[in-house]
Amino acid sequence: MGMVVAETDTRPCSGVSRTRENQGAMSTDGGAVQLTLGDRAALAVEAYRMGVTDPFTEVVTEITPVLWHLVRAQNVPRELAEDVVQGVWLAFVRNAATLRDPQGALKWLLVTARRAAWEAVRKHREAERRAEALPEDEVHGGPPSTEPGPEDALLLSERDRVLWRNVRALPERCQEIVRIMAFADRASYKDIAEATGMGVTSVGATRGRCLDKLRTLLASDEGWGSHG
Amino acid sequence: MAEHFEGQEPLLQDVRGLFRRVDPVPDGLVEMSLFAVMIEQLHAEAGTVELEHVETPELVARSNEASEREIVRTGTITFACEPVTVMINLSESPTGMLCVDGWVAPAAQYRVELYQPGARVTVDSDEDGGFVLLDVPEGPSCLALRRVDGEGPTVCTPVIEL
Repeated sequence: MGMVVAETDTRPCSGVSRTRENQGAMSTDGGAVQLTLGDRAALAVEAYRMGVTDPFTEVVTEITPVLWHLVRAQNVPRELAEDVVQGVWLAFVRNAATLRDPQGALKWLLVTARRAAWEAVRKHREAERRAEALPEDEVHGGPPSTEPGPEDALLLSERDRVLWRNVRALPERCQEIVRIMAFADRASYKDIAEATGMGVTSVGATRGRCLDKLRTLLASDEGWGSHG
Repeated sequence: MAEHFEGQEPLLQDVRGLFRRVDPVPDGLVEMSLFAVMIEQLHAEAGTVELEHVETPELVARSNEASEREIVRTGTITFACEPVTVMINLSESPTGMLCVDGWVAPAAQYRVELYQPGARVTVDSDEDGGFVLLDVPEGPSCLALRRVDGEGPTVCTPVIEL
């Protein structure tokens, strides 16, 4: 039966027109060229236009976690976040034919997901307000929590709990950036920074700053010292 | 698929591990996304031969929203789109999954494809348009039919929740 999500070692490796800023991002591994996420997204668009969907399937598998964490970082409830991510992929294929620069595909996905997440949050809050306005509303149980529940917290190791506590102590923007970066490759940091509203020039600095802040926080956390 | 994390800073690896545990990507999200895209493609394809619209009986919702989709477990459903009519009869198979008996008119041999998240099954009907799909799991589903001789357009059903 299985048609999608076949994990394969074969990698698409031709047909991508590289832009200057991505050339430096190419990494080599034992002589084999590794395409970045951005390259693979670009390739998927070009292949998709020719009716070849395998690269697209791979890219959905690889980038869905990035989109998921980007959307969740905007405080979209889990169930709603599933719809948002699916909607982003649908929008992506609808736009694949007209996307002017395939190399911009990854950034397009990130920007679209972020906007869709805000829209989802806005609608969700509106719906909540309407629900609150209803007298004797028994269904309403407060805003949905985006924090892990106490059950989840219990399942976490001490090390995870310390890390979680310190990640939560970062400024919101840093939390978002660190979270998304953790699921992407290095070459995507530029796209992530742009999509999250950072200036291009401050990308490296911002990434470094956020990670450094986290490092500093962890260094002064006794709990981390014994685990890290 | 871990290749793009090679060389990642250890602290980011820790962060990734943390978020995988506190807020994991839901099971099936990739498959559902691909399914939604596949259905979109299917419709776009049918659209190119001007048969995008498939008439559905009242029993089956037309919506792509899972919450508005009607759940169909047993009985007969008819789909019609001039000149093609598809009837499927659902029953429970001995394994507890679903058995889909179908007929297509006008009589001819059809290639029948059942799309579900993460799966696609293809069978050819007999020359009278009869086909059987055994052990079909429950879930959102879409049937696409093309005549084996290449005549006529591809027709597809709306997404139904089997």
